[in-house]
Amino acid sequence: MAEQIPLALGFQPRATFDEYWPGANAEPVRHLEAIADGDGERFILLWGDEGSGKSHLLQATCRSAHRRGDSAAYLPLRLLRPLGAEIFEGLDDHALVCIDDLDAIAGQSEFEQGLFGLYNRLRDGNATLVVSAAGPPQQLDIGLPDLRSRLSWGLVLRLVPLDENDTLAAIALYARQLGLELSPQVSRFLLAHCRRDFTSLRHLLERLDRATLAAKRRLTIPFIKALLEELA
Amino acid sequence: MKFSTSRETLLAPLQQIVGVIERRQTLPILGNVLLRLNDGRLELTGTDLEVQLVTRLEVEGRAEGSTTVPARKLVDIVRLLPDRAPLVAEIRQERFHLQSGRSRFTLSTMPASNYPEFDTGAQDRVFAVPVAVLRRAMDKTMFAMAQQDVRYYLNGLLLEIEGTTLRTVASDGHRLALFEAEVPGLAAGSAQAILPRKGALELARLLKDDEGMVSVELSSNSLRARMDDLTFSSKLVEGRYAEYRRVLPSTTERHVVADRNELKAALTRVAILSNEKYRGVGLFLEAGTLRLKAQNPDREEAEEEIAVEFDGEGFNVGFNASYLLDAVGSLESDKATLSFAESNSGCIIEEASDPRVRYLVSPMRL
Amino acid sequence: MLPGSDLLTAFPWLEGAWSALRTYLADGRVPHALLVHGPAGTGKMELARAFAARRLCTSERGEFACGECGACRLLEAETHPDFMIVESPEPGKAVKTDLVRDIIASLSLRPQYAHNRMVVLPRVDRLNRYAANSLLKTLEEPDLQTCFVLLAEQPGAVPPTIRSRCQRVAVTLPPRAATEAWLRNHVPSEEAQLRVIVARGAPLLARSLDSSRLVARRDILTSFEALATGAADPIQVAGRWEKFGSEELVSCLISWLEDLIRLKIAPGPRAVHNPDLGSSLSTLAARLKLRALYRVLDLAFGAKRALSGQANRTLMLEELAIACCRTARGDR
Repeated sequence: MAEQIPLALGFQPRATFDEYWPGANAEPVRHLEAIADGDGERFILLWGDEGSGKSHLLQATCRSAHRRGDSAAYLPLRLLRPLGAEIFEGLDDHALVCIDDLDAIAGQSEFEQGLFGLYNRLRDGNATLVVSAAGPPQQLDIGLPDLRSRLSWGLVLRLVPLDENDTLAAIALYARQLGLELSPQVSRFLLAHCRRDFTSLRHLLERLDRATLAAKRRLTIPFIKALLEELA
Repeated sequence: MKFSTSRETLLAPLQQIVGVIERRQTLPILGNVLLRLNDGRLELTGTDLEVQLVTRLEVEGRAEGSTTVPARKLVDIVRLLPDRAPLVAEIRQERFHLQSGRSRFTLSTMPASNYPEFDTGAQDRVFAVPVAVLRRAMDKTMFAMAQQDVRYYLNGLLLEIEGTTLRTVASDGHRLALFEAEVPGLAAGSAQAILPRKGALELARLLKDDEGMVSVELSSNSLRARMDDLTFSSKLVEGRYAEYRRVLPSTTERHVVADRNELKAALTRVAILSNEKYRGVGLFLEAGTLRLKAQNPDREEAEEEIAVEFDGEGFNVGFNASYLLDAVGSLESDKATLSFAESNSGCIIEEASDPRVRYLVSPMRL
Repeated sequence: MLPGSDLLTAFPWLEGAWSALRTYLADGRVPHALLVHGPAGTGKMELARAFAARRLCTSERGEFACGECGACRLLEAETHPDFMIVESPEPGKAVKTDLVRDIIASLSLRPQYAHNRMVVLPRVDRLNRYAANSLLKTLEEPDLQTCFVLLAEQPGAVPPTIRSRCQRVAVTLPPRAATEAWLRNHVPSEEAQLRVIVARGAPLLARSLDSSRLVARRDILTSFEALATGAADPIQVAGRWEKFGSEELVSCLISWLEDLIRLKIAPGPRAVHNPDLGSSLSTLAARLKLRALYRVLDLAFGAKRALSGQANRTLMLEELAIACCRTARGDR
């Protein structure tokens, strides 16, 4: 069957605080905003499930600090791991370092040593460090005892999953960033018929955005049903 | 208000005004034309609240003033008077009296102060562009605008100023047209405005002369284009345009140069047997040749082969023939260059000699 | 009419609601959506117009629109392009979905003048689900220039999703005595009290009542009494009722039943809807059974709901008349 592939026209959603739906996570967000304003905790460990928005918030913190004129670095460990433990070098002059996906290097002693060193240097230099992980410090597979204890010294914050209403609000916010028309019935339909975690819903929205563009159709429930059948 | 003039002087500007007035209005006064006489110059204004057109003409003014009168009735009367008939128009007791020889007409009026004219104040950015450049910028891109997309910005034309570069962009989500021109002395900083479909079509219609300049004035709400005897305004689309640069492939590896007319003719013929709805045509490339193939649900088939400049590894890709034809038909050079990115992100069609006009067509799965 | 500085002179009871709006204007923090709610005939539209007028007026001074600038003149002529009242062509009915969609589509273009655009939507408590959803979508993604003023008689009937996105402004009924005093400037003095009774205290409704409706109400109430005392044949009465508006008849019946129930529960001098009926009400109340009254009241409320949809009016009137008649006999 012939099928038009659409252009990837749209809006690049930006990881900013404005484009994050906090739901019950107002407290962690407030702490990160304070850090971005140059007036928060020195060390935060942010943990939460996949898709709870850790990367988004870390990027938002860096972006916001950067806009204010602070030098800030964002290190997604899952992506940077192939570069080796040297990634932790040369960051001492930054006012803020955000390290995403600590789990990606947990248990690898060379990385742990590197991070431990960075932690100490930043602390000496009065800089701020934010680390994200999938669980609280005591549940992480950190081999280096010193690093493990350091990680619990600072403020440990958890991102809780969004409840139904907040998930609805979050996908509505995301749809708006895509420039996609999402009626309340449609969002409820998605919530009732699809995987309900925000990451899956977000990917689904991106697919729907492209699909409506390809078919030049409105985003309606029959349209989604047809698409879901096609995907299944 | 009182003035005299001739049928010919009044008719053409009046007909232009009637062009923007809707046949059915939400507000009765929008069926009227606003007449304003000032110092021997008569200004005619018509609007549908989306666009507005003002034309100016010299008349023999006897008393200044302003009013609004039913536009279609007035234009019909003036049109049907004999050639070169002299006209005398006057407002008496809130009625518009028109006399020509032994013909007399009395039209109802509504006060000029009730007429929802566009803002006449200063706009944020003002720049001058040669009429020919703006016309080209619109002609080369407008056909790619969407018709009734829910993404309102797609139903419009993006007008962008960046330093001395004037750019227009239009897309319906399947293909994108982009025009760029250097306009010396533009120096308007940077600005973006989305002209709604109707505004774009009307403005393009008015850009007839090949000479002269048009003064483009932008505010956050509207665009105003001033030419000699007329001023056109259009409201702008709310919101921002999609980040179109993201969809343009940064590098293209495979370049095909074809004779434009030959390509166009072959495409037109092959498309006859394509699926009527999707208009899918397959492009099969091998060193030196391009084969075009189409097939419809009745299993009827068309195939054409043309010689092209291409020396890479063979590949094939499908497109909507109408989109390719719109793009190829819009080029002016003898040769057309088709460039393909390695990932199947689409085909860029441009003139080898003039990279200022570019079309991006997204492929189809056939 | 363009309500300007004379708003509070003309409609003094709007003072409270206006002061809430005044605060928004003074702080320069006008919400994207306001829900103005209050009973019918209390001047919600007038309030909304005055607010919109001030918002669109180009004069920078004053609590109210100046009435003289270009924007005010356009408003007065009802040709202001950035002011929209989304009204159903049928008075009193909620707007259709298509109209809401059209308006929203027209908001996809920028306003014509400056930065403010006002959209007034009456009777949002009667919007159907589809129209409400279209509206909700727009309220969720407000553009910065547009302010929606939604009007409702029953804020509880406005979908909660819409309600939660609005700042609320209540228009309350003035005290009856004040309404009567105000009304005497507009209607024959002797009619004032009765009009306030019939309009349930809503000043503009009281003013706009047709004199014939006052007479009609009297006839209707008398017919109830005749039925309840067994002095009239219900089918004949229902036939006579056809000449009255069903809505009016049902609301009259409800007010009459509520009075009887009130007097029955707590006999003695009471604030009733129909004080002009005087002692005949209490006499009747003493004779009728409470349960029977409640039964008719339920039926009347059912009829009221049914009237907003497709209802067989003849059948409904007959049913009501028979029910009234049964109260007399006290049977089921």
